[in-house]
Amino acid sequence: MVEAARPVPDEADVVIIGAGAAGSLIASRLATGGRIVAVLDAGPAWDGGDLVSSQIWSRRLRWGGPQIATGGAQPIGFGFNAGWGFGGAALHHYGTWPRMHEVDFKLQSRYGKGIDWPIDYEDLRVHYDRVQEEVGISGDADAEIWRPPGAPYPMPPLQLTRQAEAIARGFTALGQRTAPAPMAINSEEYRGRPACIYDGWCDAGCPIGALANPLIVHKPDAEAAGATFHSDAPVVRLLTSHQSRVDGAVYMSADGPRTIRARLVVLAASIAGNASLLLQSASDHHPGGIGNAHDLVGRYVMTHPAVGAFGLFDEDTQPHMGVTGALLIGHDNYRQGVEAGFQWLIAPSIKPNDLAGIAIARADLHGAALETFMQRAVRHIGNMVGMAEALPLAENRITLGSDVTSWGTRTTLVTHRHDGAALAAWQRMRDQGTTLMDAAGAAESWTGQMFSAHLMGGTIMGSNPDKSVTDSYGRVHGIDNLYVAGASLFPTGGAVNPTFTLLALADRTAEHIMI
Amino acid sequence: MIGRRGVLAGAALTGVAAAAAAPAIRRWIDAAKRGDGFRTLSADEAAKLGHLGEALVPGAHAAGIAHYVDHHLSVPAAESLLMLRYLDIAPPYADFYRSGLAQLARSAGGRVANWTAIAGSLAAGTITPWDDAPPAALFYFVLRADAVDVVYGTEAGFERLGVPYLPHIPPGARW
Repeated sequence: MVEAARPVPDEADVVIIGAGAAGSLIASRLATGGRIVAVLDAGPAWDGGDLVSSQIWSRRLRWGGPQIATGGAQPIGFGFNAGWGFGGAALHHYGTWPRMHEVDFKLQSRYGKGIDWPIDYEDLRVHYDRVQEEVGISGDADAEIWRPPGAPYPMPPLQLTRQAEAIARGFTALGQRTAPAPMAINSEEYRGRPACIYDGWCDAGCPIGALANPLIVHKPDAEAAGATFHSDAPVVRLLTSHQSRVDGAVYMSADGPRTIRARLVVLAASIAGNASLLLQSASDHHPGGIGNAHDLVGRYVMTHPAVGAFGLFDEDTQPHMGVTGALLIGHDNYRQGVEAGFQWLIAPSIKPNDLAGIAIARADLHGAALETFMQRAVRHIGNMVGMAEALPLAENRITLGSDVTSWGTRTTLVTHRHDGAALAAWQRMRDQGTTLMDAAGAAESWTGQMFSAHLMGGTIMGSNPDKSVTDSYGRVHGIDNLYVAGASLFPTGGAVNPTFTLLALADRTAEHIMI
Repeated sequence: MIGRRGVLAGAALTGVAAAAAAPAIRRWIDAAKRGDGFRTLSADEAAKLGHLGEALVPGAHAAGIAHYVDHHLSVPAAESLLMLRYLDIAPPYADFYRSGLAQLARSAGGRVANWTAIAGSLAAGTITPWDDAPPAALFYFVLRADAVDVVYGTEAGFERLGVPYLPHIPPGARW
């Protein structure tokens, strides 16, 4: 159950803001390396006992801080995608861990699109491999013919469900290839953590630890090395007394604002938190906010435009079984040239309710028609999720409003629209979804509305300080001891789930700090 | 990591919690039957919510949709389990429901409401008049999702559909 908040020390070698995936990994690495590390998180101190198998109760794990106002033609879905408390968004993430493709790092130089990363895939490869070995991934690297070079997965693939076998027929019929999805879920016991039992509750959090999350991997490692984690301690601004250094952070306690001083600060507080904190920290030294001399903090926010494709099959698909992420993956439609691409995540388990549930798959139905549909669909539905690549646009940005929140900060606003190529890719993906379901033999097929999957950008990395917020290690340009971690660093996001890549980046950052 | 022993211990604890919570649940159900016991919604608002919820998802009234929504409007936003939490709607969430329910009353024009017809026009986006309230499509989506939660999203709801619940840790209360 939720623990009481422990007192925050007055100083530490390193203060990490955010106890999610990136923050917990870096805490683990730096504490193991002998640093005194304090991790401050705005939300509650969840533990495994809080991961109740219920779509309703799992909403506790979503953002519970001051309202993040989202707008624009295609607003990002912050409430659904973000986390709240220890574990962050990775506490309810699905564990779908494909690697970014090599081309994703060089879209501008290869195709004149988007922004190049300051690093290549090869720079991250060793970090992907290290995190993969440490956390454990089930999959079949050889079957993922689109996968860039890297170590084979340490565990065999997860078992396929009836639903996965049914939908796979459609891909085979149309000549599209699928592979076992690379999942941070144990197909067998791994490093003391048990194998998955396929009960399909991943998005409510996995209390047995078959699905990796920060509470069972990096947070315990960090604490064993002496790092301390502090809940209910929202950081509201960074302290600066020099142009080129930060001195610590100001956080809210039950008694009001307090200060923790540190020799090094790591921001790992989601895309909104990272950019917002830099902007909230405006001072005489940094009038527009820290790292914002070129008005780039908060820009290039991205999300994947996604769609659900559904079919009703004659056979019993047992759709409540499996894992919430995917059992098969398809990258035949990934970017191969100038055109944006997309991926299919095939046969997620699906429960009756919630935003990704069966009832919302046919949001048009109500009354007796809904009941009839539900009675059939809970045994016969098949579903898959497509997510397309979206380019970084400077106008998609996080800004501060004029109102004041309960934390005493200015409100955070996020404006977003998709570029034309992303919308075109989404249309192709949606059309293909019903074609694949039909080819699989579904008696009925349909697709849902566009939704927003994953949050990226806002403090992008780059080689040129005039065009990026941080360097390739996440260090804020011009500030010696301030790092950013997480998907907010991504200059582009490909068409894959970001958690594995953000952890590989965090591993690279931690290694750099320790040198 | 959290071992199976820990999970079982957790499950046992939540079982105790469920037993302890049973009288409270019983009180909510009894209160729902009496039509009282609301902390944020008025009795009239709760009644409308119950009728519309039932028209959207059969079984919602008896499952306690009005008390479910009322309860989660009465706790801090960070503890609320309503679908609104996912949708980046600004708290206080009560404003969303109150303005929509008031609009429903105006749309009914003082007549005895035909809730099936209202649900149909809300779903089709043809309900009029509809202003000074959340967009009709959003109001429909949210109330329908709330009703789906209480009818299909609980252990009893799964059982009604014949779906094995298979919890790692069962919820100590429905909501």
